[in-house]
Amino acid sequence: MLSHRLRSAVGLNLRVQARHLFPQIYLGLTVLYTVIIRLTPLRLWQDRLVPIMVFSEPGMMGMLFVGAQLFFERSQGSHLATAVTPLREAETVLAKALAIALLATVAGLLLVGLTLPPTRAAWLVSGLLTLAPVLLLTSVAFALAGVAFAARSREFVPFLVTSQMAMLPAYAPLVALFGLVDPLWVAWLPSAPLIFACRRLFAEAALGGAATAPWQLLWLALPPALWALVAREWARRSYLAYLGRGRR
Amino acid sequence: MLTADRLTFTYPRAASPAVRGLSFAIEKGEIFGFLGPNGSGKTTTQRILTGLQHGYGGSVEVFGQALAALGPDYYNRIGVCFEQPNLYEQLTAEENLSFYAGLFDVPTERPADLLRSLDLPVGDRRTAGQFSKGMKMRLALARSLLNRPQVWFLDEPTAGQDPGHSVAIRQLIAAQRDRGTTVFLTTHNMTVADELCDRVALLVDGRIAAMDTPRRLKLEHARRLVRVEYRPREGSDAIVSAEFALDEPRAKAEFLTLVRDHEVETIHTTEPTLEEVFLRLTGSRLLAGGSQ
Repeated sequence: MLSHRLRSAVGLNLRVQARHLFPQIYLGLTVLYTVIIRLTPLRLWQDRLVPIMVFSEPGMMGMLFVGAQLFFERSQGSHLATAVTPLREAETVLAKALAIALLATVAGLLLVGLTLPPTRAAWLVSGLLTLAPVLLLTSVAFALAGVAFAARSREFVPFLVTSQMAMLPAYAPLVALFGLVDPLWVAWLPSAPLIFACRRLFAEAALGGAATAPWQLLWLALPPALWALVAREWARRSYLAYLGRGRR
Repeated sequence: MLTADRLTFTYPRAASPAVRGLSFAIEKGEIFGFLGPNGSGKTTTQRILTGLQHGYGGSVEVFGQALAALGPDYYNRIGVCFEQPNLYEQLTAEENLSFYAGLFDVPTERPADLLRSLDLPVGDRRTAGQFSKGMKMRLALARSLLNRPQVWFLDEPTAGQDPGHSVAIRQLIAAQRDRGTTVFLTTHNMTVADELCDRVALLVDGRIAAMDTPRRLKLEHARRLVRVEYRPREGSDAIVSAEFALDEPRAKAEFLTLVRDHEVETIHTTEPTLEEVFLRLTGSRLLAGGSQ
């Protein structure tokens, strides 16, 4: 269960994100992606393009936005005021990641729901509910990595360059979608379960959603959960150093 | 309530320590002033005492426990107001206070009550970023009082305030002391310190140059003067002034001679100030150094 401090901090982060128009940006991107997939010839590759788009929202965008938020806070000094409250550093970084991950999850599910081939409603709902934890945990893991990168960067541009360079391997599973790499080689990457789960949903939907019950894909939430734990510890340590607290 | 023993701290890559062997003890319900020019180590000391700066030497005890052992619960018992407001500027005043109130594990003040007590608008739709500097600082003060702190750390609390609000803030600090709150007041404003503090420590280059009640410091280190304005000759239009140190016997005799032999226009005693004490103890260092 979330502590009252964490709930309060997530609420604050959602509100701050809203004031920076993050939800509107996510919604705009989702609409744009949906239009591209449904109304352009690119719909022929929707089973590969949608996983790329879905991953870009928690991955690239989530990392970028959570980093930007950290830089906003640094310019205002509000991180110092939070540091002298009982909110733990682990809760601080998790609250930021959860808030951005919630946005990315809603946007990602909306995109998949709007672009999946027509199928039975019950199967669609079940498919989206199965994808949700994978999407949420992947988003949390990447947002936490974004916090760590931002906490370790003095300026925004170096953060941008470093974080996006570090993201490159996360795109490797996308190459596997086009058959250029054996999926087993990239399955351990934090982005792989989400991309493969998304691709699988499209494949199953094309077959009328009969072959596999979506809940059978739930195990795919385990790897991003483990990655999120690793990323949380990294983000917590980076945030401690960022506050000047370092090692006690 | 709060004890520091041989506290030292050196910033990474700095040539010399910012804080050099500070030792002091603050009693419950005391307003303790930490005075010094920019760069003297005041803010660094406050950062250490509020748990924001690790890697220091010496020891700090608060509430009878080592600071390092206190953990996050420490922040349920203290309030911190920084030199800068450090607000979420996209949020309203009430949103700022409501968010922070949700982070404490102890009963908190109602945001609207705190806003009223600091003459800030309630129900205002403006964001904190649209406030004046003085309003932002008062909002930061309100935030630091949310959890009814037992120890209240204040860094330049009257900075940016107009005279009316400056007086109100000084009254608020005194009222908190009367409720039993211990106040650690960091400032370079000697007037504020003189008026409010039960004891002050004068900090120079990371060291405590003197520590006592403002009154005793003034009596010990400042000169008591009498300023006389007089006419040098009878019927002269010119007015000349002279100062006499009350503690010097020869000056006292000269003063009596002047009063007897000349037409005196005005006589004033010049009260010693903490600023004067500070200058006497530190020479010209009052404006030296950069911010730390």
